[in-house]
Amino acid sequence: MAQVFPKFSRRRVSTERRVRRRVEPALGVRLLTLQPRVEPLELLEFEYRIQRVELDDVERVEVSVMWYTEGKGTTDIGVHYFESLSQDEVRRLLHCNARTVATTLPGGPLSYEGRLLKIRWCVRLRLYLKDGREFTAEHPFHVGHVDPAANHDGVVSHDG
Amino acid sequence: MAKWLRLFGKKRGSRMSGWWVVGSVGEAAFFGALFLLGVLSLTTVVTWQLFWPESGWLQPGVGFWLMVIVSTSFIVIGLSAFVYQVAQTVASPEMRSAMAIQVRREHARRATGMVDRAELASLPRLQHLTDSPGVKLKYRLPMQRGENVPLLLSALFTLAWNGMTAMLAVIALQGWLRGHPNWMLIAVFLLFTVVSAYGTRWFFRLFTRQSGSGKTAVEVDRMPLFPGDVVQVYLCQYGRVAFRSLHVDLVAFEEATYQQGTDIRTERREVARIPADMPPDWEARPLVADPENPLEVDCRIRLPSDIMHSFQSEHNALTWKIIVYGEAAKWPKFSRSFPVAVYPRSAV
Repeated sequence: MAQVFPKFSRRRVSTERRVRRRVEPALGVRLLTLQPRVEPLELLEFEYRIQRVELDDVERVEVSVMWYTEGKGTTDIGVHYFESLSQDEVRRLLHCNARTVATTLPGGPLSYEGRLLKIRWCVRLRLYLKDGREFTAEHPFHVGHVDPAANHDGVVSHDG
Repeated sequence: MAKWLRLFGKKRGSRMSGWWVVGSVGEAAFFGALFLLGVLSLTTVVTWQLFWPESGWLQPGVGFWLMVIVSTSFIVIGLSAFVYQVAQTVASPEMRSAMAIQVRREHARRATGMVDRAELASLPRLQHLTDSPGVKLKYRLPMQRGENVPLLLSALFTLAWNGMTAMLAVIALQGWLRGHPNWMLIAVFLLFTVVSAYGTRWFFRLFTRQSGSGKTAVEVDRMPLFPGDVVQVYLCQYGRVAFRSLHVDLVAFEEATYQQGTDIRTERREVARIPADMPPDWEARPLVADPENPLEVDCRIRLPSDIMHSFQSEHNALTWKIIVYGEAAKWPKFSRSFPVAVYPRSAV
């Protein structure tokens, strides 16, 4: 029977770097509305928090409520709500707390599941650290009620 | 070189290997240098003419103005690309999008004195759909542009090719009459004649399709359309034509533009089709139009309440069109498209 030994990297990684690699920041976004489907022009409330990171290491935090396209075409985005928090603001507003944001959604575009094109809405949280690392978290949600394109197979039927 | 610093990346599908900062800094440095080169050369050329005109170097003429144009283009290209690169490196896509929307709103506010609604940015504009009043209903829809492009291209191709064929014919005939026929030239002429015949046939097929069955006009009673609406449509077919069949549909297309290698491609797919309700006597009616009595049809289109609205962004779109399909007795089948805008109810 052959003996197989694990291969270890020859590079010596410092304990500090190893710890930093293992412990990545935790980003949390939570919708405060009860339903995952929101109507256009409705108030969207959500909260976000950042954990497992020294606030001195944070450069800035960006939060956006936005739609983006998915599918065959190049991705397009449209930002409805955007805020960028500097290090001081992060220290003041996010220290041990979740920050709550409320915004009234626009009338469109509505969430859509097409064949070549999908339109998705989400709350996106980006954390930039001073060492150049960047972390992103997203919370998707649906806006409006649209029949997916795949359901009617090219022909929309309607009752008399 | 150390493993962690890779100056050159390799394309891996849609992403690049290597550290993106190196590429961005390199690109910004290149365009910054281009800008500085433009400023330096323009300053040199202009100040030389102002302070040492007697030196005779680069007197105002073609060379001087060429230098001015090239230097100015270096400045414009270098500066704009440098700013774009820095903005891409410093700001996230969301921040750039938010800044662009803010600028657009500000521009609209200054231009019209009103705040532009953000949701309308992803909906098609109504101005070109509502600027033509109808004869019977409120709006007369414009026919989709681009229907005449194949006809124009075929006309240009046929004209150019037939011109070349005629010149070849003259040269070949001259050689024949002098008693020294060039058989290679005659063979090429015969090949050109075959292509010429196919080109001319292609042109006349398109021409008869476009003009043979006369002009089509479509009017609607409202614009924009909303999900759940019942839309009145008036169709008027001019010219002299007898149809075997004629029907009207409201059709949705998805369009996606994407980059494939160095090419930019657009894919279009039909995703919904709503047939119009034709009048009750439709089956029994003769579908005949003549110059004095155009064929007039009143029909209705009922939009379901859960259909997707029109949508447009930089690379993706969902478009709705009223399409008239006709099959005439003597002419080839035709279809004519009239774009419409479907707005979500919430955009009112």
